[in-house]
Amino acid sequence: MTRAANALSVEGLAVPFATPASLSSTAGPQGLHLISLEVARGERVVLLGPSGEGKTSLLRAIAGLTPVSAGRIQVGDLDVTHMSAESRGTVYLHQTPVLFPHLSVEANVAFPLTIRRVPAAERTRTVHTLLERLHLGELAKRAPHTLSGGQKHRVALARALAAKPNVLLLDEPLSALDPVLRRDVRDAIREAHAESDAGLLLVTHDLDDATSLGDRLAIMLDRTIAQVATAEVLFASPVSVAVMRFVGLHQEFAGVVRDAQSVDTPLGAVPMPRGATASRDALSDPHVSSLSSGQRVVLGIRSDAIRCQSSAPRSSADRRELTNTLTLPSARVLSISHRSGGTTAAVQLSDVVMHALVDPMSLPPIDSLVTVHIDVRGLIVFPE
Amino acid sequence: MLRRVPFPVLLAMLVATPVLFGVAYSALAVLGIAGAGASAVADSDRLFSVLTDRTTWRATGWSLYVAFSSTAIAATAAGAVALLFPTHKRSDRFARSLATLPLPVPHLVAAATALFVLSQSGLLARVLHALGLIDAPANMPALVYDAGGIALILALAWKELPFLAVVAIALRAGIARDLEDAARTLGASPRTVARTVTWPLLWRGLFPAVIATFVFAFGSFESAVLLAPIDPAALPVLTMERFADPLLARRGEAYGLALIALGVAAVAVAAHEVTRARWGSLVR
Amino acid sequence: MMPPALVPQSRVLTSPWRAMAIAALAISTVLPFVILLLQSFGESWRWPDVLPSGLTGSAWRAVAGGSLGRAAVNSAALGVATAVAAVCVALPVGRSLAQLQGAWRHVAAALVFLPVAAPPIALGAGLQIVTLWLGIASTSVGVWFSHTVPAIGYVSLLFLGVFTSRGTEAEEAARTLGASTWHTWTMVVIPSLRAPITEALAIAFLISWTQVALTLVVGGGALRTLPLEVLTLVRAGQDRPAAVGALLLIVPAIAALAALRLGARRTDALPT
Repeated sequence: MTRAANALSVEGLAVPFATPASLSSTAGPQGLHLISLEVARGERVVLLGPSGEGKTSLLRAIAGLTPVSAGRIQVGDLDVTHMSAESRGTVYLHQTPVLFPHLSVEANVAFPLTIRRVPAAERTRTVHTLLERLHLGELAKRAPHTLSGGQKHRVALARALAAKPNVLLLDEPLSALDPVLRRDVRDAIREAHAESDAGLLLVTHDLDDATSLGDRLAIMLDRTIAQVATAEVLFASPVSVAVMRFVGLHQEFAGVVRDAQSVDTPLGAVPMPRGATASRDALSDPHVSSLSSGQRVVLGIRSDAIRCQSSAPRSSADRRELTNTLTLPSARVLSISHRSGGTTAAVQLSDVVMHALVDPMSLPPIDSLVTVHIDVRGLIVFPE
Repeated sequence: MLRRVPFPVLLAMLVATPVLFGVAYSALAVLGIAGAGASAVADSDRLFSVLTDRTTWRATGWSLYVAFSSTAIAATAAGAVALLFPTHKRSDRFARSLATLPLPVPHLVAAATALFVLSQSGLLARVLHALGLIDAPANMPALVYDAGGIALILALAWKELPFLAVVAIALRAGIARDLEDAARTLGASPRTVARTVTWPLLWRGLFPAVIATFVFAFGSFESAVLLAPIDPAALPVLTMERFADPLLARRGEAYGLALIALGVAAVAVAAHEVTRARWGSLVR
Repeated sequence: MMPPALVPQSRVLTSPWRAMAIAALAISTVLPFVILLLQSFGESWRWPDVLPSGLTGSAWRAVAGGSLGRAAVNSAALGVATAVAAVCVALPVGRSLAQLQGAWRHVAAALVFLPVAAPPIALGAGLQIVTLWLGIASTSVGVWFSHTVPAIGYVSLLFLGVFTSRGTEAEEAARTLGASTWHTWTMVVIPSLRAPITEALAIAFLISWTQVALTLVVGGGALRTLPLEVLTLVRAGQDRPAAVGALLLIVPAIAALAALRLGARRTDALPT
């Protein structure tokens, strides 16, 4: 029998939200619908979405802990839609690690092996290997309540791997942690997964965690999956205004289509972003072909495509350098903010405020005039 | 020395004073220094006669046996109620209510009812007669006043069950659903989850309450006085008899018996505290 | 067609066994009450009749003005006095004990548990001497005093649990808002403790209401309480009034159950 390339495939899944009173209700507006998703062997997919979208419900449904009302879940070659949680080959990890309080670290990790009646010698060997891999060797005999938060996460991961799952499901493992611990657990997840060919599906609402852990990101909006793509594709070509807004990388302006070549915006006329529409065509977005003259649109500009510098007389050499660049008339600096992602200036241009990257080594003074340059490859347009 | 003891502990000691005093006085009384017929010189005769009297140890052993049996039955039943009827379904809620309903029924009433039901002319004997299984009260196996203490054990177990069930149900509800979910996704079937996660947590959490009910059953006077045989006597009944004995020396022996009972209680209290400290935090 | 909902099955027992378990529970719970009722109304219930041949309310009518009635009044008064005294003492004790940490905490909890766990006969032996010295032996006051001892222990443990789980944040907040000790207690602590105080009153009342051995040893028969009366009747084979007395004993107990229910979610409780 050939092994399926996918660790997990989910097709047209509907999951009613499990309010205690309505376990039997069908997936209507109250649940997840039409969820389709694939995770390859050894791949890490991150499920990203705002709180309350049902990311946890989806994970629990895949794990068999929440009933589904339609669709199909396949783990490896096996249709597990109607199988019980213990026989699916999926391991679900709770947001805060759930360790068995009456068992030592070692016994916790051994739990999946013990219940499968794995011989003691092999069990000891496996547990030892896993504890070493996750740097838990010295904690083997400890009781769970004596562990730190990060250590608990490592134990939960080791225990999950002991079950030799096809799919690892991690529910917001990072969201309740401080920054240092977050890095620790992020590393632990990578280390734990590195030597496993399990598919990994991880839920988070944090874009940084998502991009650092996920081979691909699945964006969940309106209780369904809006887009699945690598971070690069997702940032360059969000499929909808909603996805663009959720990712939050773009600054948004209202515009009106002038013709096939340009869009009128408060910033002036900007070129119609060809590349972006083409890639959206490939994703068969129904809106794409329908842009016509006079139509209202939403223009998105990638924040990292907007730069500004103190206004200075330009040489002709400068102009030639800026082939892909749209240069806007002078703007006034309102404020400067310093963030880990870069230093930006809020600038005002007629009645529009936008944020542009500045060179932190030569900050423009407040109220001074600057020139704003936009890389037109960072433009994207959606019908309003 | 006292200065190092925190003030709240001194308060606790004050609450325990009657017991501590009782222990001290009993010790003096059994040595003949205090109480009726006291003399200035300690005299080990009473202590000796209490400790060498076979009746003393038969009574202590029998009371321990009864307390142990009844508590074991009640704890098993309470654990079963919590494990078998855990959900919000109506039948489960109904079963839990049934198990906990007699919570405030006094020992005395439980014992009196056991007498009405289980004595040789009690309701059970009448039902068995109606079924043609026995033809006279004398044919009814003795459950009351018998050396096996069946009626006493059943009455105590019946009285203990609701309390242990309340605790077990609360514990069962406190065992996070997440723990069981985690075990399920790691490959454990519902039965395996019950065996490897739920039950181990439940009995550890229940243990302090089991010890408490054990010591209550051990000390229950009114149940024993209604249902226990004369020989072997139950320890509380024997103690009471000695207190009322016309012979002053025998009255002194009562304090020896009281000391034994207090010793058992002290061990139980320590065990209660130790198990609570050790396992109390496993389940919230 | 929709596939069946995948509710994870957590049943450990199949339904015929479940039904039998529930039936056994029902019989064991309900039967004793039925028997007491039959016994209290039954007239000429001779062997081998399964049911009494006639019914009479005579034993019930005899309660008012009879010894059972007087004993019930005594017991109720004693219970209320015990409950109030026990709560007044135990509330500050429990509050104080909750401040302890580590080993001292366990020592204190064990000390407080001692009068609760001590077999009443053995406890009574010490209390008899204390009441003799205080000059209240074989009096109602002496019996009340003896009842408060285990009640204080029990209720102190209850308040220890309550104060441990709730912490002192609310009190601290009141302090930093400028409340004095008096205001902190009267406006924050006591109002927020209404439920546990009710529970404590109910438990302390029940400890006294059902007490036999201490009443007997310390009171020496001077105060006839309801349980003492019932015990005498049962031992004398007076089944009908004994059953009436037993039911009278249950009535306030069942009423107190409502208050006890509040504590049903705590797992560190003790049996009464």
